[in-house]
Amino acid sequence: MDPSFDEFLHVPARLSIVALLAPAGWVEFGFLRDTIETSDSALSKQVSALANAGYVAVRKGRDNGVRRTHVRLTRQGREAFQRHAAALEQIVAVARVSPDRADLIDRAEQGQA
Amino acid sequence: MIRGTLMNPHDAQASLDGIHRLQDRTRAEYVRHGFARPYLVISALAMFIVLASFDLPSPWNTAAIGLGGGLAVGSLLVQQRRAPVSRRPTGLELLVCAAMSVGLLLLYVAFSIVAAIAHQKLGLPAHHTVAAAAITLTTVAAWGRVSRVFEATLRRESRHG
Repeated sequence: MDPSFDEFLHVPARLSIVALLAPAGWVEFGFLRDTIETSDSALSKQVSALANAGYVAVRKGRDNGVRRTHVRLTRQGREAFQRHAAALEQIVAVARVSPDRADLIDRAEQGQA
Repeated sequence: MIRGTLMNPHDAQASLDGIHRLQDRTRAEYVRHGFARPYLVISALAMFIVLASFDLPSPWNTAAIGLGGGLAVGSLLVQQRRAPVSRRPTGLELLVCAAMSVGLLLLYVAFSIVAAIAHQKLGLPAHHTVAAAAITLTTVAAWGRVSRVFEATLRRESRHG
Protein backbone atom coordinates (compact mmCIF):
# COMPACT_ATOMS: atom_id res chain seq x y z
CA MET A 1 0.00 0.00 0.00
CA ASP A 2 1.17 3.51 -0.83
CA PRO A 3 2.56 5.09 2.38
CA SER A 4 0.66 8.30 1.56
CA PHE A 5 -2.61 6.39 1.98
CA ASP A 6 -3.93 7.82 5.27
CA GLU A 7 -6.00 5.22 7.12
CA PHE A 8 -6.98 7.77 9.77
CA LEU A 9 -8.38 10.06 7.08
CA HIS A 10 -10.05 7.30 5.10
CA VAL A 11 -12.75 6.80 7.76
CA PRO A 12 -15.85 7.83 5.70
CA ALA A 13 -17.09 10.54 8.08
CA ARG A 14 -13.63 12.12 8.35
CA LEU A 15 -12.99 11.90 4.61
CA SER A 16 -16.37 13.55 3.95
CA ILE A 17 -15.55 16.43 6.32
CA VAL A 18 -12.12 16.98 4.81
CA ALA A 19 -13.48 16.75 1.24
CA LEU A 20 -16.08 19.43 2.05
CA LEU A 21 -13.42 21.66 3.63
CA ALA A 22 -10.83 21.25 0.87
CA PRO A 23 -12.18 23.80 -1.68
CA ALA A 24 -12.87 26.42 1.00
CA GLY A 25 -11.42 28.49 3.82
CA TRP A 26 -13.74 28.58 6.84
CA VAL A 27 -16.86 26.41 6.62
CA GLU A 28 -19.82 26.60 8.98
CA PHE A 29 -20.46 23.60 11.23
CA GLY A 30 -24.16 23.55 10.26
CA PHE A 31 -23.35 23.23 6.57
CA LEU A 32 -21.04 20.26 7.28
CA ARG A 33 -23.70 18.59 9.47
CA ASP A 34 -26.50 19.04 6.94
CA THR A 35 -24.43 17.95 3.94
CA ILE A 36 -23.02 14.85 5.61
CA GLU A 37 -26.47 14.19 7.12
CA THR A 38 -25.20 13.48 10.60
CA SER A 39 -25.93 14.69 14.12
CA ASP A 40 -24.22 17.55 15.97
CA SER A 41 -22.60 15.15 18.43
CA ALA A 42 -21.34 12.71 15.78
CA LEU A 43 -19.88 15.56 13.75
CA SER A 44 -18.32 17.15 16.86
CA LYS A 45 -16.62 13.87 17.66
CA GLN A 46 -15.08 13.58 14.19
CA VAL A 47 -14.10 17.25 14.06
CA SER A 48 -12.40 16.87 17.47
CA ALA A 49 -10.50 13.82 16.22
CA LEU A 50 -9.35 15.76 13.15
CA ALA A 51 -8.42 18.78 15.30
CA ASN A 52 -6.41 16.58 17.67
CA ALA A 53 -4.55 15.18 14.67
CA GLY A 54 -3.78 18.75 13.59
CA TYR A 55 -5.81 18.42 10.38
CA VAL A 56 -8.45 21.08 11.11
CA ALA A 57 -8.80 24.28 13.11
CA VAL A 58 -12.04 25.28 14.86
CA ARG A 59 -13.28 28.83 15.44
CA LYS A 60 -16.25 29.64 17.67
CA GLY A 61 -18.05 32.97 17.57
CA ARG A 62 -21.38 34.74 17.86
CA ASP A 63 -23.49 36.48 15.22
CA ASN A 64 -26.41 38.49 16.64
CA GLY A 65 -26.45 36.26 19.72
CA VAL A 66 -26.40 33.06 17.66
CA ARG A 67 -23.44 30.76 18.33
CA ARG A 68 -21.60 29.88 15.16
CA THR A 69 -18.78 27.38 14.80
CA HIS A 70 -16.52 27.36 11.76
CA VAL A 71 -14.01 24.74 10.71
CA ARG A 72 -11.14 24.91 8.26
CA LEU A 73 -8.35 22.65 7.07
CA THR A 74 -4.89 23.39 8.41
CA ARG A 75 -1.93 23.27 6.06
CA GLN A 76 -1.06 19.86 7.49
CA GLY A 77 -4.62 18.65 6.90
CA ARG A 78 -4.67 19.99 3.35
CA GLU A 79 -1.39 18.28 2.53
CA ALA A 80 -2.56 15.00 4.10
CA PHE A 81 -5.80 15.17 2.10
CA GLN A 82 -3.95 15.88 -1.16
CA ARG A 83 -1.57 12.96 -0.49
CA HIS A 84 -4.48 10.68 0.33
CA ALA A 85 -6.44 11.65 -2.78
CA ALA A 86 -3.28 11.11 -4.86
CA ALA A 87 -2.88 7.64 -3.30
CA LEU A 88 -6.49 6.79 -4.22
CA GLU A 89 -5.91 8.01 -7.77
CA GLN A 90 -2.80 5.88 -7.98
CA ILE A 91 -4.71 2.77 -6.90
CA VAL A 92 -7.26 3.45 -9.64
CA ALA A 93 -4.55 4.23 -12.22
CA VAL A 94 -2.64 1.02 -11.47
CA ALA A 95 -5.84 -1.01 -11.88
CA ARG A 96 -6.49 0.72 -15.21
CA VAL A 97 -2.99 -0.07 -16.51
CA SER A 98 -2.99 -3.66 -15.26
CA PRO A 99 -6.50 -5.03 -14.68
CA ASP A 100 -4.91 -8.38 -13.69
CA ARG A 101 -3.50 -6.72 -10.61
CA ALA A 102 -6.95 -5.41 -9.69
CA ASP A 103 -8.34 -8.95 -9.95
CA LEU A 104 -5.46 -10.14 -7.77
CA ILE A 105 -6.41 -7.59 -5.11
CA ASP A 106 -10.08 -8.59 -5.34
CA ARG A 107 -9.14 -12.25 -4.88
CA ALA A 108 -6.78 -11.41 -2.00
CA GLU A 109 -9.58 -9.39 -0.37
CA GLN A 110 -11.98 -12.29 -0.70
CA GLY A 111 -9.32 -14.50 0.87
CA GLN A 112 -9.00 -12.13 3.83
CA ALA A 113 -12.78 -11.89 4.33
CA MET B 1 -13.41 -0.97 1.87
CA ILE B 2 -9.98 -1.08 3.50
CA ARG B 3 -8.86 -4.47 4.65
CA GLY B 4 -5.35 -4.70 6.01
CA THR B 5 -2.97 -3.14 3.52
CA LEU B 6 -5.03 -3.77 0.36
CA MET B 7 -7.67 -1.60 -1.21
CA ASN B 8 -10.03 -2.51 -3.99
CA PRO B 9 -9.61 -0.11 -6.99
CA HIS B 10 -13.40 0.08 -7.32
CA ASP B 11 -13.64 1.30 -3.72
CA ALA B 12 -10.83 3.77 -4.38
CA GLN B 13 -12.76 5.11 -7.38
CA ALA B 14 -15.94 5.30 -5.29
CA SER B 15 -14.04 7.29 -2.63
CA LEU B 16 -12.70 9.66 -5.28
CA ASP B 17 -16.18 10.12 -6.76
CA GLY B 18 -17.49 10.87 -3.26
CA ILE B 19 -14.71 13.41 -2.70
CA HIS B 20 -15.48 15.22 -5.97
CA ARG B 21 -19.22 15.22 -5.24
CA LEU B 22 -18.68 16.76 -1.80
CA GLN B 23 -16.24 19.34 -3.12
CA ASP B 24 -18.84 20.35 -5.70
CA ARG B 25 -21.38 20.74 -2.87
CA THR B 26 -19.05 23.17 -1.10
CA ARG B 27 -18.53 25.20 -4.28
CA ALA B 28 -22.28 25.19 -4.99
CA GLU B 29 -23.00 26.46 -1.47
CA TYR B 30 -20.41 29.22 -1.88
CA VAL B 31 -22.07 30.35 -5.12
CA ARG B 32 -25.62 29.87 -3.78
CA HIS B 33 -24.95 32.18 -0.83
CA GLY B 34 -22.97 34.68 -2.89
CA PHE B 35 -25.75 34.99 -5.45
CA ALA B 36 -28.68 34.68 -3.00
CA ARG B 37 -31.84 36.67 -3.80
CA PRO B 38 -31.77 39.05 -0.77
CA TYR B 39 -28.26 40.21 -1.69
CA LEU B 40 -29.34 40.51 -5.34
CA VAL B 41 -32.25 42.77 -4.37
CA ILE B 42 -30.09 45.02 -2.16
CA SER B 43 -27.23 45.18 -4.70
CA ALA B 44 -29.66 45.99 -7.53
CA LEU B 45 -31.31 48.69 -5.42
CA ALA B 46 -27.90 50.17 -4.52
CA MET B 47 -26.86 50.19 -8.17
CA PHE B 48 -30.12 51.83 -9.25
CA ILE B 49 -29.87 54.56 -6.57
CA VAL B 50 -26.24 55.40 -7.45
CA LEU B 51 -26.79 55.46 -11.24
CA ALA B 52 -30.11 57.32 -11.06
CA SER B 53 -28.54 59.94 -8.78
CA PHE B 54 -27.13 61.75 -11.86
CA ASP B 55 -30.65 63.11 -12.48
CA LEU B 56 -30.80 64.66 -9.02
CA PRO B 57 -29.63 68.19 -8.18
CA SER B 58 -26.82 68.79 -5.69
CA PRO B 59 -26.66 67.97 -2.78
CA TRP B 60 -29.30 65.22 -3.30
CA ASN B 61 -27.13 63.42 -5.82
CA THR B 62 -24.30 63.17 -3.25
CA ALA B 63 -26.75 61.89 -0.64
CA ALA B 64 -28.07 59.27 -3.10
CA ILE B 65 -24.54 58.10 -3.93
CA GLY B 66 -23.83 57.83 -0.19
CA LEU B 67 -27.03 55.87 0.38
CA GLY B 68 -26.38 53.50 -2.54
CA GLY B 69 -22.74 53.01 -1.58
CA GLY B 70 -23.70 52.40 2.05
CA LEU B 71 -26.30 49.80 1.03
CA ALA B 72 -23.78 48.01 -1.20
CA VAL B 73 -21.03 47.94 1.45
CA GLY B 74 -23.47 46.94 4.22
CA SER B 75 -24.88 44.14 2.10
CA LEU B 76 -21.39 42.88 1.30
CA LEU B 77 -20.38 42.88 4.98
CA VAL B 78 -23.50 40.96 6.06
CA GLN B 79 -23.02 38.54 3.17
CA GLN B 80 -19.41 37.84 4.18
CA ARG B 81 -20.30 37.49 7.85
CA ARG B 82 -23.12 35.02 7.27
CA ALA B 83 -21.41 32.96 4.59
CA PRO B 84 -21.58 29.23 5.40
CA VAL B 85 -18.56 28.76 3.15
CA SER B 86 -15.87 31.40 2.86
CA ARG B 87 -12.80 31.30 0.69
CA ARG B 88 -10.22 33.63 -0.74
CA PRO B 89 -11.04 34.32 -4.41
CA THR B 90 -8.51 33.05 -6.90
CA GLY B 91 -7.00 35.12 -9.71
CA LEU B 92 -9.38 33.58 -12.25
CA GLU B 93 -12.42 34.35 -10.08
CA LEU B 94 -11.30 37.98 -9.75
CA LEU B 95 -10.74 38.10 -13.50
CA VAL B 96 -14.27 36.78 -14.16
CA CYS B 97 -15.72 39.39 -11.74
CA ALA B 98 -13.69 42.15 -13.39
CA ALA B 99 -14.83 41.03 -16.86
CA MET B 100 -18.48 41.01 -15.72
CA SER B 101 -18.09 44.48 -14.18
CA VAL B 102 -16.58 45.86 -17.38
CA GLY B 103 -19.39 44.23 -19.41
CA LEU B 104 -21.97 45.80 -17.11
CA LEU B 105 -20.30 49.19 -17.39
CA LEU B 106 -20.22 49.01 -21.21
CA LEU B 107 -23.87 48.03 -21.24
CA TYR B 108 -24.71 50.96 -18.95
CA VAL B 109 -22.83 53.33 -21.27
CA ALA B 110 -24.82 51.93 -24.22
CA PHE B 111 -28.13 52.35 -22.34
CA SER B 112 -27.09 55.89 -21.34
CA ILE B 113 -26.34 56.84 -24.96
CA VAL B 114 -29.70 55.48 -26.14
CA ALA B 115 -31.51 57.25 -23.26
CA ALA B 116 -29.64 60.52 -23.97
CA ILE B 117 -30.62 60.36 -27.67
CA ALA B 118 -34.23 59.66 -26.67
CA HIS B 119 -34.02 62.62 -24.27
CA GLN B 120 -32.87 64.95 -27.08
CA LYS B 121 -35.10 63.66 -29.88
CA LEU B 122 -38.23 62.63 -27.96
CA GLY B 123 -37.93 64.64 -24.76
CA LEU B 124 -37.57 61.54 -22.55
CA PRO B 125 -37.43 62.82 -18.97
CA ALA B 126 -34.88 61.68 -16.35
CA HIS B 127 -32.84 59.73 -18.90
CA HIS B 128 -30.19 58.68 -16.33
CA THR B 129 -32.93 57.06 -14.26
CA VAL B 130 -34.21 55.24 -17.36
CA ALA B 131 -30.68 53.96 -18.14
CA ALA B 132 -30.22 52.99 -14.47
CA ALA B 133 -33.51 51.06 -14.51
CA ALA B 134 -32.53 49.30 -17.76
CA ILE B 135 -29.12 48.16 -16.47
CA THR B 136 -30.60 47.12 -13.11
CA LEU B 137 -33.30 45.01 -14.76
CA THR B 138 -30.72 43.48 -17.12
CA THR B 139 -28.53 42.56 -14.13
CA VAL B 140 -31.46 40.98 -12.28
CA ALA B 141 -32.48 39.03 -15.40
CA ALA B 142 -28.93 37.76 -16.01
CA TRP B 143 -28.21 36.94 -12.33
CA GLY B 144 -29.06 33.23 -12.54
CA ARG B 145 -26.99 32.71 -15.67
CA VAL B 146 -24.05 34.62 -14.18
CA SER B 147 -24.13 32.43 -11.06
CA ARG B 148 -24.04 29.29 -13.23
CA VAL B 149 -21.08 30.66 -15.22
CA PHE B 150 -19.31 31.48 -11.96
CA GLU B 151 -19.92 28.01 -10.52
CA ALA B 152 -18.73 26.36 -13.74
CA THR B 153 -15.58 28.51 -13.59
CA LEU B 154 -14.89 27.34 -10.02
CA ARG B 155 -15.41 23.72 -10.97
CA ARG B 156 -13.25 23.94 -14.09
CA GLU B 157 -10.49 25.70 -12.20
CA SER B 158 -10.46 23.07 -9.46
CA ARG B 159 -10.29 20.21 -11.96
CA HIS B 160 -7.38 21.79 -13.84
CA GLY B 161 -5.80 23.64 -10.92
